[in-house]
Amino acid sequence: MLVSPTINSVHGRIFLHAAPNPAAGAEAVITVPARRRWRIHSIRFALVTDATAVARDLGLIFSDGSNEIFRLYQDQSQIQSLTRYYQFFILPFAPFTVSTQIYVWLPPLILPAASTITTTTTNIQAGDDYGTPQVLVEEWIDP
Amino acid sequence: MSREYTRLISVLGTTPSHGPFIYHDDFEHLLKWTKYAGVGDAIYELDPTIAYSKNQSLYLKTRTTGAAEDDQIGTLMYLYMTPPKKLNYAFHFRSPDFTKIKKIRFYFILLDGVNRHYPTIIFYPNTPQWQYHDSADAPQNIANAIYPLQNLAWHRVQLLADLNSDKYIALKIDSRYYDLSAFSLYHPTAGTPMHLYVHIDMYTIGASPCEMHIDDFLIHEL
Repeated sequence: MLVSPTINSVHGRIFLHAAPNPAAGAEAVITVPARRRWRIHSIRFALVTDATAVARDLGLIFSDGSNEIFRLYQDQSQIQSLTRYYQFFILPFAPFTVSTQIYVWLPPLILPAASTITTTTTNIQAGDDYGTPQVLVEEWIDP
Repeated sequence: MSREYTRLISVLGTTPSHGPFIYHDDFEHLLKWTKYAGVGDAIYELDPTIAYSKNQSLYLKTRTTGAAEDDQIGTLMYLYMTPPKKLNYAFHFRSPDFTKIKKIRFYFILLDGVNRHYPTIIFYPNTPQWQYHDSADAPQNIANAIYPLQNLAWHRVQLLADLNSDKYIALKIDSRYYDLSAFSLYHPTAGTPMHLYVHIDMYTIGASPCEMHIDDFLIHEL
């Protein structure tokens, strides 16, 4: 039985969380479950763009579930018919790209239950498809 | 020094114990406990916001989505103890609404390689009535044990039994004492397993979930 410690503990349980795989044309959403507190260590997902010739610019919206906390944008546009892998880490560095991999800085974050991290994609097309977001999470029980 | 390098200890000085101490758990972790029953969105977690002792307690809640009568959730643990002893088994518990609970069962089973010693207490909060299981494993009302429990208050329950003679000794609920020394407990012949099994669970009375916190669990020899 996997048991996360409560917020009385210094360290939480570390695990890789697979968020729901969104349908084509939909944004990806990562949600902190009820009675949980998450520290986000990294996020990785793929974006496959369809043949529509337009640049997509991707960011993340952080929310407490109803109110936006902040937005995080990166400056690497993705044009049509490409697969790119976006990776966010809690390390302070300027975003850079190596081949199909795009690396972006993520501020240290501790999110309460029901918080969401949602992709926001300028010029998203019906055929653009996000893959399953993989989130490295440190989790506590926070009733 | 950060907490992960601090060893957990139990301070026995604050634990009322009349005999050799076997096990005490303050639910500062769940490493020795296992969820019993509980389906769907039932909750079996530590709660750092409510505790009788130290910082946390165990929080049990039956499922909310699709809640139905006789939904069940509980906790269990195995200890390794032979031969049979006189035991006191005690814990604190509370509920925000006892009327949502049909019954709370708590028992321990000692398998000593020959017999299964099985003292059992059941509480029906809505009657309210406390029962024990007799030598045929049939529930029997405890005379005058019509003791209601108050919502949101910590209650202490103690089951004292002699597993040598297979007789109950007493049931204590808060300050009430019920003499059970006239009653034998269920002790059928069993196989070879040898362990002490500890169990607490509850059932819903209707289509609303029921909740309970448990803390300060203790077993000691009398």
